[in-house]
Amino acid sequence: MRGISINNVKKAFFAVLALGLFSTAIAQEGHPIKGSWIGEWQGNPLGTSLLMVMNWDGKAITGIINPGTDNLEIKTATLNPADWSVHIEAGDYKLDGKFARLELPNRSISGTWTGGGKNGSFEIVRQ
Amino acid sequence: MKIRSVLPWSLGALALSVTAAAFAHHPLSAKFDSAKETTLTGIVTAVDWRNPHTHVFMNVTRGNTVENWAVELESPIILRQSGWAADSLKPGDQINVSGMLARNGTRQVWGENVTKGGTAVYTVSDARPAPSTEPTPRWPDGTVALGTTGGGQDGYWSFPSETVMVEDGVNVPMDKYGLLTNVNDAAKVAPLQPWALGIYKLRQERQLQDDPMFINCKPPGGPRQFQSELGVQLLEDKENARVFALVGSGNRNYNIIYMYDRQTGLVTGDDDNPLYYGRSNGHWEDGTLVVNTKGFNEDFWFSNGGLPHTDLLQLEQRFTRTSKGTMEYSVTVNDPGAYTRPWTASWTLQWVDGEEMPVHFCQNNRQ
Repeated sequence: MRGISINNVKKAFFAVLALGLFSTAIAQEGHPIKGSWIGEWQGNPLGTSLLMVMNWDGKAITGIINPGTDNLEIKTATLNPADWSVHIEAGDYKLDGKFARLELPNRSISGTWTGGGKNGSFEIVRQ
Repeated sequence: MKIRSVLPWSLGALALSVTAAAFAHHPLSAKFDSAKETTLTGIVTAVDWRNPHTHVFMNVTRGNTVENWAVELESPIILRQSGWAADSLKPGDQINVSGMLARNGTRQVWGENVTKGGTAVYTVSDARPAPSTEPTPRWPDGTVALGTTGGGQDGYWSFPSETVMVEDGVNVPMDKYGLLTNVNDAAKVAPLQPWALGIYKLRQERQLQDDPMFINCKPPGGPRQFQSELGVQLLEDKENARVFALVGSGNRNYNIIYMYDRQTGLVTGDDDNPLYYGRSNGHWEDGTLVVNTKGFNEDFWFSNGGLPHTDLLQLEQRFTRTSKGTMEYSVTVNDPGAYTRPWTASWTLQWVDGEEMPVHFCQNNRQ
């Protein structure tokens, strides 16, 4: 197996950074939950990084948490436009949050999560 | 004059001009507050005659102090159409101004009424020329001409009878930029899904200041290109079976309407590289051009006033030239991502004969 050089790590880091900067500069004006979201859920023993990819098909919010080997399919997700609150269930996890900076492409959702006998706060920012 | 006395005025004028430029192109209501009116009397110090808005700078004396004010007016394109020129006002002229104050508290006013010696200056007439009732122009093969029939003629479509999109049959008060008089009327405008109604109301409550056409120079995709004050041109390329819809207000960008079922070539589908103007196929039905478009991205507002859409949006647009001077336009919006059912809005466009379409470029964002 080939080793991973520091240079390659640097390249990957800056590529991801550039992609992130570029994507935040582009507005997305459709359904507010659609897109890729990156953030943290504090207190989760599996790791604090939280990546969510969500879509809107016209009837339901679909998506996935932490795409990869430990991914979780979103079972149900709802958005209440009366107060811009969000409820998401995936695996044993339940997340309840609210939108902030809704008018901006890099809007965020923050709130609390429960699952696996644990709980904590979370915040994700749309990329 | 001492430099010390000139410096504050110069810095003040500079600050005003920078402030004006930083928020230069915008729906009127996003920048000015109709609930705060003022009147000013002063001396013109400069006229900045440039798109997207003309600015007249003036000194207003209050007691022992002189305040620098910026009076914002319509674009030179629109003022010129009403017969005005850059030198209609000159430095040293005494003027009276009344209008709305800027929301941000700076010394800026929207010049609703500007008078010099009791005579109105830089007024814009809403009156439009009467449309030609001459017969619909046709090509030698008898088909309807969407624009000119060649031979070096000029002309374009402008003066939309509606500059806002509302479902046919619905009457909801709003200004020409699409700002509702009463935001509680939002649900009447179109059959919005709950989330889309929430977004529409948010955009309204924020006075349309987030409009990406203004703050990011995004194109006026979809039906919005046919509600521009600066017009649109339909250029037929019969040899290559396509119609170009050239937009007067969107940096001279354009939509191509393919007059055949274009399924091959560079464009292979709707999921790859969605577009501001989508992908359009057109055909004729008894003298009406019917254009079906899909493949839109979500990076723009498709109407003045901020009605939301998703990438599921599909449009059927119908163009019927009923005379040389009038184009009947209707658009059926089918977006199951944002609306509960398809809905239709209609308006007319008027032919501007013998003139080139005005050129306006949105540059450096916000300008």
